[in-house]
Amino acid sequence: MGGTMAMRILRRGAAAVLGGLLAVGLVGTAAAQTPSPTSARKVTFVVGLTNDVRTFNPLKAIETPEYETLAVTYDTLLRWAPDDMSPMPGLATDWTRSSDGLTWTFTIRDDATWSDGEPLTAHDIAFTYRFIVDKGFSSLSNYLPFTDSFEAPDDTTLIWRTTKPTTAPLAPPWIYILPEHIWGGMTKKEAKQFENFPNTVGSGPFRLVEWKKGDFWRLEARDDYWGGAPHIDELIFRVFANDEAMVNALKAGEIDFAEAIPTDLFAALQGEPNIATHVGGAASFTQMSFNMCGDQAYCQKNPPNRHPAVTDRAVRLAIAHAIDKQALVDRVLRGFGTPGTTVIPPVYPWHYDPAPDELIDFDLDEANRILDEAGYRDTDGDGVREMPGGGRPLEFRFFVRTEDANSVSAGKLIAGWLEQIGIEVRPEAITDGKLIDQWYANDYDLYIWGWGVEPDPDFQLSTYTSDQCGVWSDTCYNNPEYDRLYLEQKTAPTREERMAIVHEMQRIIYRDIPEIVLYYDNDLQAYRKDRWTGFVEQPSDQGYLLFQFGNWSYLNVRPVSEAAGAARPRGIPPSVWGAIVVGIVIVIGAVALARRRVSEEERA
Amino acid sequence: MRAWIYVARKVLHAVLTLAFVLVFNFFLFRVMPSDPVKLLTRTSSAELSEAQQRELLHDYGLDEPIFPGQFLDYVGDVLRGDLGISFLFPGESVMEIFLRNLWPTVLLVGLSTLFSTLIGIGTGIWSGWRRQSAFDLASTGVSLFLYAMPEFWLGMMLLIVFATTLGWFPTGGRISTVTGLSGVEHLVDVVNHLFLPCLTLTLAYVGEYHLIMRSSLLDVLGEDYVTTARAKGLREKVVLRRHAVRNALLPTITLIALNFGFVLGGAITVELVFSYQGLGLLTYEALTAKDYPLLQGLFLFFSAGVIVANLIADLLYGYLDPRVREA
Amino acid sequence: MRVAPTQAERPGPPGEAPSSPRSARAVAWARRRRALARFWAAYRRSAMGMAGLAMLCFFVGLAIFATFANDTGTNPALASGPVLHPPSLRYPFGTDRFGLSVLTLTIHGSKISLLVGLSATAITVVIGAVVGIVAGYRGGLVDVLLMRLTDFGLVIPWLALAIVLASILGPSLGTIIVVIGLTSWPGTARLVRAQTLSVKERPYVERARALGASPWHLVTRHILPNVFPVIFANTVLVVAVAILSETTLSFLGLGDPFSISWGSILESAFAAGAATIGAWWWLLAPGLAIVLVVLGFTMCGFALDEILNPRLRQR
Repeated sequence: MGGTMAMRILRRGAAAVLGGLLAVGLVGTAAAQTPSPTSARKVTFVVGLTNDVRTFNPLKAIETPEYETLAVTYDTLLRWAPDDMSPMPGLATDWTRSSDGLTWTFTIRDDATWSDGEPLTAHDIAFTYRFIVDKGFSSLSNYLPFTDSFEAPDDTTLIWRTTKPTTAPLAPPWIYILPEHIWGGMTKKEAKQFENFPNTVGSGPFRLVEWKKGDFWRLEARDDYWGGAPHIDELIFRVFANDEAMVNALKAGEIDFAEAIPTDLFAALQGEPNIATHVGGAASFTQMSFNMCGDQAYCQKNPPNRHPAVTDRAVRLAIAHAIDKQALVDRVLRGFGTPGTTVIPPVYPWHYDPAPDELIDFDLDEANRILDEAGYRDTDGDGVREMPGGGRPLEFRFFVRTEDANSVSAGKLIAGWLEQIGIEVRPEAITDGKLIDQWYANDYDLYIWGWGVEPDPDFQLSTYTSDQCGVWSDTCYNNPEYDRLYLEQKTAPTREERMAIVHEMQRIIYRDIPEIVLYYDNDLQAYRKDRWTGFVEQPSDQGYLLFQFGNWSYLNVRPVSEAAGAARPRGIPPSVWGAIVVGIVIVIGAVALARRRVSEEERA
Repeated sequence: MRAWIYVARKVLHAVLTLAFVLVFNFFLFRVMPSDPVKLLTRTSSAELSEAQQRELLHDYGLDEPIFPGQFLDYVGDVLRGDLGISFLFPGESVMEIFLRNLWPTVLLVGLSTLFSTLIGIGTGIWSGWRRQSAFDLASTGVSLFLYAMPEFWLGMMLLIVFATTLGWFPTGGRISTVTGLSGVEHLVDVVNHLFLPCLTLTLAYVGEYHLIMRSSLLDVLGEDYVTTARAKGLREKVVLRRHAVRNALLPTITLIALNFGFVLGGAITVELVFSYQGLGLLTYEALTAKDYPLLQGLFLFFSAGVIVANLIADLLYGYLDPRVREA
Repeated sequence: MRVAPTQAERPGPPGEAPSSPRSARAVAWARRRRALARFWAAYRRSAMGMAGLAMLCFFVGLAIFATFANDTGTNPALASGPVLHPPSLRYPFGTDRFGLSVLTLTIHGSKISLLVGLSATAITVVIGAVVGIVAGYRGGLVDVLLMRLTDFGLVIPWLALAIVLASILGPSLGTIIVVIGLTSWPGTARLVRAQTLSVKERPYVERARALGASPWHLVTRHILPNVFPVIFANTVLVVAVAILSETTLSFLGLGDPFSISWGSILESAFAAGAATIGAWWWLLAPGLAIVLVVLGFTMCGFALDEILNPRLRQR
């Protein structure tokens, strides 16, 4: 009885399943034939990324998607020009500086409005800056040094007084202006916990309307934006689980722009019809850091666990000579990058190019010579040098990041080269979280990480000061001369004088080698050129199309033609569905025939 | 009446096992070395004072003693459906993230399990009955081959052939656009994206089920009572249906249910390969981000899934085998 | 099971004078050698078994060769071939994103894959056999507790547990070996326990116990040798599963990215987007290797199971 039952269940189940497939197949074939109606002439631009946004609160923004959203929903005092990122009018149309250099007077435009209809005035700007300084949002108040006061005597005038002369107001400060009528009166805790969604009020060209966590967030254009109405109606940022999914979506036409495409996928995209690939700006660098903990307070509290040889500049110099940066660019980045030198990338005017006699080139012989001279010899013939006097072998712990496939590849190559100068490193791939633990505990010798550098070099340079140990300093580098220069550049009266100091600071780091800048990696971007045009590259040479400092492209991008509308998903061609249906029919037929044969057998 | 006792016993056993899993789950994660506070501190801002760090610890309930404080909290929370707050999606509860990703995986695993068991059992029976026939040799050979294949490798190859090269199916994802697809179009879109992952998971396990069913049937066919039935002169087909298959199904069902844990594992890798947003891909993301609350919740769910599958198998077993019911 | 003939009863080879009395150990060893010969004769008759064995020999040979061969072909810094090139005469299985020959990588990957598979199996079988024999032999409360533990182990979804353990222990080969070992033993334990129970009932065991044999003697001299065939067949099958498991764990990035195994090659390929790019050759060689090795162990295991499992012999 049970067996019959089982067979009956099996047969009924199979029939139901096949029937279902058939139904879906027929419907699918029908659906694939009928074109989908274009939704009401709305022009939608979809940007794909693999990094999800965590918050829409400008005071808590850390990651790229957050900054990019802020760039289109809020404004800054000044903007970064698209050709060379120099300061240009934003909310402020004009400015003057007092003769003593301590007072800046900005004229604020009168046609800026908030997305809830309220006008934006100088009061909002003064409020925002004051709020940040008074409540102590340290990561942002860095842009407002030596503050004396912020005043708005009327709606269109902002007076910024400092205690020391500084060119910080022209950096410009990367602070998005908040509406006083929303944020005024909040405590610091309230401001930090404020969701700012829904009902986000900003002054930018787009307004946030929808957010599905882990999936997408959607913005609508504001026709009354002071900088001009965008040519698109809707902007969607769509999050993907990984880069492959994002690139596939671009190829399928499900998204219009893909950001931060990994090297191999990007290389394969080149030459795809309808897709324009863009080797974007290299305003970021990847570095290999040494454990430089000195006598700072943080290092006393968290004594470093490191190999003593790392503190010897000779060793670091030898290692620097043993790394073939061009090979890294060729093999790891497939050519999409430039060999690294100093910590401000060449895409910025502040970059310092080492002089030919300062340049540390790839020279294994020189590396070996330096180590020999410094007394690190291989006394026991095992291929690894020891400390002078034949002590501890030069074996370093070397961390690379699992989140960054390039760092893993780079690690393999670097280990190979260091082996040839008698230093053994065993690269260990760990997650960012674990690396942060090791870093906090000062428990490492070498590791690879990277930075995205802002247009104004102040923040990046600050990370090498000794008081940033345990905060933002990658290496706990400790150089009083460097610290002194940092303060000097903050108060440099003219840009030229500041430039000289900034150059000197980069030279110091390049010479002292607390870290080795491996390469400046390009941001690889791609978009559907069959649908879109009007991207504004910033800076104009080897710049970024999106994820810039500003919202130039979003204001300018437009469809190539009227017909280019919303994306349509690809479907199974009717031929395939037909084949499936035929296959199912054959299977059913076979089963039926087999059963007939069996029952004949039975009767026999 | 006895049937109900049987059912009750099996359900009780399942609940007890689940309870053990809960305890195991809790203690397993207390061994974690990575300090979540430091992780949060670094990513949010480097300016948390001691007091703020203590506040964070308190918010996550990490400042109480492990036993009984944290443990009882944990049990209470789970019973109420509160599985904690995720690190990866800050501010979102594990339950929320979970429910969002639930139906795609249920769809994927459910459909593929249905297909693979039906097909595997069907061909296994046929194969065992017609031993050494062309069909048997072919199907068993294919089954062995499929069994030996890592399911994600199969997925990648299918992806290359049918999606990348032929373009018949999308190369990944769960759905295409995020807005604007209605009813039928949406259904077709879902099926389009579901097809290859489902095919992969089905093929990955159909071989195993075929082999299990075939082997089970062969064992049964060699048993004494089958010889007896044949000696009695019963027709082959009746012999097969009435005795052999029913008895062969019993251990097969048990083994298939035990295999469910592997099916869930397969779902993780297959969802990864196809970027199919479900619980499997979520597990991978939680793993790379070391989001322990999320991992803990997922582990609990997957274990519960296997326990439920085994319970269903036990109940099915009881239904099919009167000996058990009357025991 | 027939009682083994005593030395006096055993017929010598025809035409030979009866040999002088030998020690008990020599008798036992001779018996074992004959059993082995019988076993081998039976095994040779199994086409599946021989095919599987051939495949295994090939891959073990490959791994041994790889151990002594020069591995510069796996060093990205020294890669000289064209990047992501489809199969050609010079590169029969194409090249990867560094320009390294996929064939070379696959050959060298056999070392770790097999090593990890075998090590993990060792842990699995040792734990499983110990648990199974103890539970089967002792019975009672010990049995119940161990079986509860085993059932529990069977219910836990292995990959979820593996992921959790690996996230705690950190990615490394050691982690993978331990994790596979800890999640696979319940299957072996169940099998061994069932066999132990059946052996325990056999007449000669009861007799030995009645004669006052110590538990240790019973286990090592009687139970273990009779459980051993089942363990052996099971071990071979476990290796297959262990290799598949290592592949999966490496693929998920839980292994050591700086050592080459078939799983790590697939992981590199996936991370580089091989499926999207269409670089099928990068996936083919390691995948085929895995399939063939697992097939080899599986077929051997099935063949062994048929020979050593008495029930099947009736047919």
